[in-house]
Amino acid sequence: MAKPDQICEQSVFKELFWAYARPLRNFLYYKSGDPDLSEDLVQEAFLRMWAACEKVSYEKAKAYLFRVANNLFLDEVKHRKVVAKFQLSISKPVQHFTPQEELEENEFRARLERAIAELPEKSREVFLLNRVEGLKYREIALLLDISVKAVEKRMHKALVQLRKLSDLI
Amino acid sequence: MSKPFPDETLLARWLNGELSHEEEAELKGRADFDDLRKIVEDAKAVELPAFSEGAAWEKLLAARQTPSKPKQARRRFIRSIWWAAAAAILALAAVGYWWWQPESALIATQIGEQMQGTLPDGSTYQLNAVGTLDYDESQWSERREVVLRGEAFFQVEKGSVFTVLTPSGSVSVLGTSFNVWARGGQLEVVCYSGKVGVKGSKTPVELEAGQKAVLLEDGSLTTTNLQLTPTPSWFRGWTDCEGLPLSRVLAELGRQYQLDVNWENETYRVYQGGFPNDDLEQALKFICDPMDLQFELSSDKTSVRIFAK
Repeated sequence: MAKPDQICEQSVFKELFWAYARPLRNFLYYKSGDPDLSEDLVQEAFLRMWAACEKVSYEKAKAYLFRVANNLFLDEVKHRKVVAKFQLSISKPVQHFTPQEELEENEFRARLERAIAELPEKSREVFLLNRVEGLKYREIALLLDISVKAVEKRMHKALVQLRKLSDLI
Repeated sequence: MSKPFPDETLLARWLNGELSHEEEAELKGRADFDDLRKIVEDAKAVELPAFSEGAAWEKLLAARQTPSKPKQARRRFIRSIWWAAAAAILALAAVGYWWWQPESALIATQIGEQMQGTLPDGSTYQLNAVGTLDYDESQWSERREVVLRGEAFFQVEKGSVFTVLTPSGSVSVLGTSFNVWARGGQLEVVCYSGKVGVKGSKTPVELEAGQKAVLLEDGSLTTTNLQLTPTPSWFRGWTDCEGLPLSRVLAELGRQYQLDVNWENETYRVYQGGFPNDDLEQALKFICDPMDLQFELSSDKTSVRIFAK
């Protein structure tokens, strides 16, 4: 494993990029629902880390990247006049359904997609980091620099709200 | 409307399996419990947009060369360069379409069709029915990466890491042969020789020859040991369905024969066996007889009704 001051080395930096670019992109996507913006911000976060590489140790790189990316995202939202509408889709299950069930399935999925998009950003990121990315509450807490209890509250809130939206059926 | 919850972390703790017996009993008694469970299940299948580490890394290197400007402006600038580049490429592509072959290769198979071929480094693939395989020829020397939907068998030449990306996880190897089945958010990988790394959303696993990994619903992977033939059975016109749910067996049958399968009163049953890929009536007998089911094939052989005897 690399020594702390070695991340300026291109091969070491590349290793970090390969390890964290995708999780970082996903994290930003859960926040923004905008794939282009997410990729832009991933690049910007890595550029900043490269510029500051002498001050960032190998072990701290991940936390550094997520913190910088989070700040960049907040900046971006502040400066944007129009915020893109959050959009995501859920893939179909492979199971066989009767036409009636399939119709209901599709409708439920569409409703859930909309409901996730309408969650407040803070609940949505926690919910998707846990459900899609498979991160533990403790890991999410570290990433977002909040307490585990706060993560649990946001998670609970996310589910309560998603549940409400499906009430309309 | 639904009842309020007794405390503000209850559902979070439920997902983590941390509820007391009383709490759990109360939650399960709620009218909306099934909805909650379904929301949690379905949300796992959120689709993520494509991302290529290799392409992003190239972009990063290029951006690093450009003289630094105020940060906000630089990002806009970079973005406008990419737009300009994209427009230029589109224009070029439109003009050049008749002269040049596109560099990205998309291989697609139809119902009942298989296709085999060679990748730029001499590695080979065989793609089973209703699948696509996509890779970037111009980037091949940089990174060996293919995107698979469906099922395929690969024999990989030794060299740098060879990666198969699927919607639900990735498989990476150095040089070996392996089969990947990736449909509808599910993933199964069988290693035939060498070693294969498989990654879902949780801890990755490493397979040795004769081992199989299956992606479970929670994103983790389980491995089992198999008695292996040298290549997958579907190579030899036989679909092996040993121990698979009958619903999946019938879905596979539909893909091999362009068949609309209607199974009445579908239930969860496991099928032990397989079916031939070149004789529909035989295939239906193979599946239905041991399961005590009957079938009725439409006269044009495009749909079949399956029902209990």
